[in-house]
Amino acid sequence: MPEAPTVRVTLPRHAFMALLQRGVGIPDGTGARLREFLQETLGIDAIYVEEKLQTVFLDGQPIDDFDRAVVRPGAVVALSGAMPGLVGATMRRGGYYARMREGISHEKTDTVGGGGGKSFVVVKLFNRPLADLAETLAGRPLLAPADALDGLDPEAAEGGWVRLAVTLA
Amino acid sequence: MDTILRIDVAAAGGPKAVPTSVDDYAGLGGRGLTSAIIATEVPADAHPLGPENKLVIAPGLLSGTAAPMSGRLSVGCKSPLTGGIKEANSGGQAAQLLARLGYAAIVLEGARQGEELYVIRINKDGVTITADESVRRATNYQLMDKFLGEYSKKGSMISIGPVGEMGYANSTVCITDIEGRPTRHAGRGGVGAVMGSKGIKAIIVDADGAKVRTPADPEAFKAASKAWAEGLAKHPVTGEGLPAYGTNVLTNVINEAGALPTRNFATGQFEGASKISGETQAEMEVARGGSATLPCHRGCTIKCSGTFVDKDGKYVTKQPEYETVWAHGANCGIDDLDVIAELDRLDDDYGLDTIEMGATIAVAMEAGVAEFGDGKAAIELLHEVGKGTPLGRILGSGTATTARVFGLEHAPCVKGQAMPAYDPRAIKGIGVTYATSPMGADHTAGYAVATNILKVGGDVDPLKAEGQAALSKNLQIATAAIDATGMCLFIAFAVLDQPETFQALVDLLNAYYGWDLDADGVAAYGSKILAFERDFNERAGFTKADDRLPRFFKREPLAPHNVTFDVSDAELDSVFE
Repeated sequence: MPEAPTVRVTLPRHAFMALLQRGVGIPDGTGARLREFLQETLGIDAIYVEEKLQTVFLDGQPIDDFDRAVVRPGAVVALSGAMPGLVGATMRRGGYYARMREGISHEKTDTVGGGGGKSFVVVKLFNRPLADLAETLAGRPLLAPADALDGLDPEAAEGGWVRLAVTLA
Repeated sequence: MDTILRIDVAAAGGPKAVPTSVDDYAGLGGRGLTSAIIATEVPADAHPLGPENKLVIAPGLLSGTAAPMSGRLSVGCKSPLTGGIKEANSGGQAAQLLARLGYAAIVLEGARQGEELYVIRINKDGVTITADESVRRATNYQLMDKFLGEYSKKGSMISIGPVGEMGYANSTVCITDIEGRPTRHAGRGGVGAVMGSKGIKAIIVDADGAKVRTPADPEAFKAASKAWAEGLAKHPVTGEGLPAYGTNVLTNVINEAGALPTRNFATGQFEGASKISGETQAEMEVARGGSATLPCHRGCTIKCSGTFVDKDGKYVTKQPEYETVWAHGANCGIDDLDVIAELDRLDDDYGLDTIEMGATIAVAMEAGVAEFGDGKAAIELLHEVGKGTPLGRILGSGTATTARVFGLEHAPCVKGQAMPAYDPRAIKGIGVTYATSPMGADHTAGYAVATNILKVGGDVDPLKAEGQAALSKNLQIATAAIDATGMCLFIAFAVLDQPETFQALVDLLNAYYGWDLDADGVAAYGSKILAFERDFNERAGFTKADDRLPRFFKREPLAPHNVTFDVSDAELDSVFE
């Protein structure tokens, strides 16, 4: 079965930012440790990863250790800066208050995210990383939910996702 | 700031202003002073709207000084919502101005005589109190239109909306912001109804001619203030995140964590979160000609507020905060920022707490009064509340009462007060604070304040099971101390991460008052405030059974993590043992 075609779109920055909050698919890098995925697959600077990505989720679970978590196909990775307040501190990577969210934390073992039948990783960007990394992601092959953008040809969707080549307006 | 202004509403001929010395309350400010006065002077069995209750309005210890972020105003009383002691606090202009005029607190006390409504005017020359029939049932924006000319330059207005007059358990005391708008509220616990029960509709503060307060050691204060400002500016949350997106920056993150209560706490994720996020809100505000970065009072350097305008660029309300966006958004299944902004405006106008109101509407939606996601219906319900229809009076009585009226178990409340925007099943630590705070469910009762620096009661290892309770206790103690200073709680992150910034805060207090406070002293101060509050509640009839979450949080798993609140009762009891 032939691969679904790539749709080329030119998006205003705010529309692309909205898409990134909801999540875009990254077709490569599966099976890597989270740090490797962020630095090598997404091309995020190592210092930025360590210093700015203070709140990170893998499949909705707060991550404390980039080098333990493995990104499987279907995983959802969400990237955020440091957040305010008690709960912000609680969600923070390796933070003093991590105990307060123990029930939902990503375990400190070689655990893996993923599932859901997808062959790619979904990446969401929030707040500071959204502003800082949007252009980095715009320059690479992506997938987007078919219902996320007006005017997309439903025939181009595969499993509800469309391959995109985004140019920022 | 050595005067307590007592307004005796029982005086013959109308309320009388009686300035008194702070005397035994010297050294207390903000929440420390409100809780000390309530615990000392109000009988614990008083009816919240009866003559024995008092309303205490107190700036913080550092309010009125040149220290950045020191503009919080505490409002205390016996709560009509919880039946326990209450301190609700707010930003806005009034704290700085009252402090500069020399007032440590205003106390409204006594048995109201007659049905007149009064407006109090305070300036450097004294106090005047006038009966004013024209303000009856006025909304807060109507009061702004009427009095802005009096307070727009160097003043502020403290007021109640119509629901405060009607004695609702959900009613706020409103404080005008830097632009003179009625957008800041001491929101929780029904404090507006207590002001209404005293027959006081508005307090207009004019600080023209009043000077910034002078510290005991001006040079040391200046140095500490500089270090304080630098510490706030360099931190990524206080220096970047909050100014760029406001508190609503949390929506995406809490949703991702599966901790965003959705449709009356039915699930922990909302499919429309990205449509109402802080990132989307800030982009919308700027694109329409509003603003995503504004202070709520002079001297605020974090600037987490903003201006929300409609599609035509017309002012609607201030930038809705995270708690508001959650309460009227995800918790009601509403994913439209324009609807949420309209609800925020109505809350401010009628004088309603957005957390309690959103939680109440969600309960009403679960009861079938309206459909989840129906923004138009939510707006109509809020108008019913503001107008005082029979249904509106039920909804205005709070979430717990509304659930009882409609026969629902799902009342997400502790001590009668609705939970804020973090599901305690996903974040158990905050559930401990919800359960045990003397204030009822309150996310600010145990904020991220430097417990690792204070080491209250010794070092706590948060990775051990018993650490959960100890952590909550330490957070509550540290928060009580910060609430007494008049500092905005958003300083917490910088204080948490940067020991030198915490030290700068202690140095500010020492330089201003000539004290020799250290970290242990700060902890002792916070403990003293909590002791006042817990003692009052115990005398009011509260027991360990009140330090619990509703049982459905223990029984019903929260998606997507399918977690329940499983902190034991013994652990909850250990917080204050």
